[in-house]
Amino acid sequence: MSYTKKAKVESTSAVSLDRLSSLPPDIKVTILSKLNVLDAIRTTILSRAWRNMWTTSPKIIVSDLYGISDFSEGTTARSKFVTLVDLALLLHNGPLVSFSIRCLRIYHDVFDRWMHMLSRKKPRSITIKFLWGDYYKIPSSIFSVINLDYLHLKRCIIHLPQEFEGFKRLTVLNLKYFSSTDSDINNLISSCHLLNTLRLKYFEGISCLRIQAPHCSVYISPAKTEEAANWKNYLKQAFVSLTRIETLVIKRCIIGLPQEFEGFKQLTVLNLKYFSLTDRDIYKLISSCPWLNTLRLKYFEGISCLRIQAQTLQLLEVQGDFEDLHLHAPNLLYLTLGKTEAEQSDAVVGDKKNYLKQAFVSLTSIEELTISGSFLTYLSEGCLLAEFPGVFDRLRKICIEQCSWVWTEVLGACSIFWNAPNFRELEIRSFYRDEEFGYQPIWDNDQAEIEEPTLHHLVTVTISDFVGLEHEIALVGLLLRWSPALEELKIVREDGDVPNDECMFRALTKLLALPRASNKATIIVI
Amino acid sequence: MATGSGAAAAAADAEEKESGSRMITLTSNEGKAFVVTEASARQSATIRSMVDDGGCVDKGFPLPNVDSKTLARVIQYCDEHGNKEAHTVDERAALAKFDKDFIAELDADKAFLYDVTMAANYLHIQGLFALTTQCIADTIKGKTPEEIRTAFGIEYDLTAQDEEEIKEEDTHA
Repeated sequence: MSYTKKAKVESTSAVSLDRLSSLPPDIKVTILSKLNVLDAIRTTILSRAWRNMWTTSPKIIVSDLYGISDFSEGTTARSKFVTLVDLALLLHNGPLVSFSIRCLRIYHDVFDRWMHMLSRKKPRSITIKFLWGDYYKIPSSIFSVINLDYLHLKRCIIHLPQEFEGFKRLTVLNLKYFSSTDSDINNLISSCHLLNTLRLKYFEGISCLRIQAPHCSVYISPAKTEEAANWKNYLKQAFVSLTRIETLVIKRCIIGLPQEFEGFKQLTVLNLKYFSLTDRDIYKLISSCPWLNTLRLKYFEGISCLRIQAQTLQLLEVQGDFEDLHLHAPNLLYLTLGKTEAEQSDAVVGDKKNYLKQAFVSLTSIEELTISGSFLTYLSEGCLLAEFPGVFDRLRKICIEQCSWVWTEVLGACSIFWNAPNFRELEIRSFYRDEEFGYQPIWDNDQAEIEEPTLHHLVTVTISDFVGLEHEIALVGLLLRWSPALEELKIVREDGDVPNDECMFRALTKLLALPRASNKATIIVI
Repeated sequence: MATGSGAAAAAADAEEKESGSRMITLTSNEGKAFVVTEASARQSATIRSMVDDGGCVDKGFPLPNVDSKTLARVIQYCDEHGNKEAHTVDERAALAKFDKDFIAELDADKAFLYDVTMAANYLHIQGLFALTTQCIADTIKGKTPEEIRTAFGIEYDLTAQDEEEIKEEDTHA
């Protein structure tokens, strides 16, 4: 630390001539490693103190998008960039830890040369991203960097050379927009014994993935389009071999469990989006994960009766079309339920309603409930009644999304309020299907009567996307009447198409006149 | 995984509570003593390892490489990051805002910025070191060599021979 002392001897008050240059070399290198190569190389000609400083920087970052305004013509820009990368790789003269290149233009003719120069430096981290054009075939030289720890490729072709020995130290493999073959991708992945994160996005040429990677988080999204016809069951084999996986995220896949599936004994997070699965398989999949903590199921098909049995589950998010729900999750804290379609005709008929009732009985520790308007309608069909008070003892926050405030939704909401004696916070997000419909009074006088709840502990209410319709005001009226402890009711006006100021003014005037059960209640309109 | 990190956080909390009451004295090279909480002092990996090795907590830590003005500023950073929670989105946003204001002030006084950078390096305060070096890098970014020389008062001292070498490297590539 002698240099530090020396630097201190100099006066700090006078802006001494060149304090930047007198910083110790390791600090200068740290600064240079944060710069793009274009800037870093420029420091070479600053002064003698900076002469070869950047050549020992542990990181090389290059991008032909950077400093593009300096370049005049396309071809000149390209050749300047080629010279820059050549220069960087040639002159760099110390241990290189990390190399990152991002290209907008195509350099396939010179890229093999760069990769060869790079591979001799044996970096631990390589990022290669093409933003455009044909996929680039990764040359064999890169596969010889066996001490690689991090590999991130975009728009590349993965073809393993014959003599590939495996990336035995690789912990992160991130491939996006790539093409490969079954044997190449599967051999690559199985050669990485230390892999802890695997991301495979938007690929082609692969029909069967066999992922053998213990202790790994896996994110798979085969296609960008939503066409179900292109979905494949990539994971049939994978499911057998991923026995020690902890996080699994899959998008746009058909999922079929193989006969020999034994369950994910250590899985804690499971996210599935745009997928197709049968009733039997989803039940088997979930109940075979004894440590599941977080489960998200979004936009699925093939499931009519969703059965979820999970002792350790704390967070559950379901968004999709299903007819019935069996839920047994006694430790659930956060629940989000949404149905994509509200088919009132085929919602809960006959004895099915008992399942849902049972489902809610089991949710004794839930703290936060998010529910969509259409699901409230589903509830209001008589399945959740006021006959078991105290079900959601610990519930402190209720969010209602996509609420169109038809009477059935109000009924559904009331049945939850009745069963949540202690909740303190309510959030409502409105949603309008139809302009015309919105301006009609939609609560008929002969609607089913409700037994009005008293919300003893409700302190804050937030209503978003408020446009000032009759029934919105009526709803605010009900909430003010039911909530003796209310302190704040916040109304956030919809930004976009507020009908007109006069309409909103009338609405606000009516709001102010509403009687309030709580003498502390303030109404805030934003 | 979630349960694992939760347990770790709980353990860290417990540790913090236990050690939070202890105060630690840091002494600048001018002999001025600064008393800080242990949580604040632990922002420095250098001090943290000395404390954990059962070092001279009672006697305090002399810092012969840091002057009073710099130390005061470094402690300001450590207090903010060591004593405040950063669990919620709001708390993290508050810290980010602190960092932004903190570095903006330093950026206006380059000589002082280097002193703080050196101290952060010596004391191994990772967050602060990343913050100050990024600030210096940002100043260099996008400038021509001449502009950088002007900005930092760098004297052009390359000899004709050096220039020749640089040119050669250029054409060589």
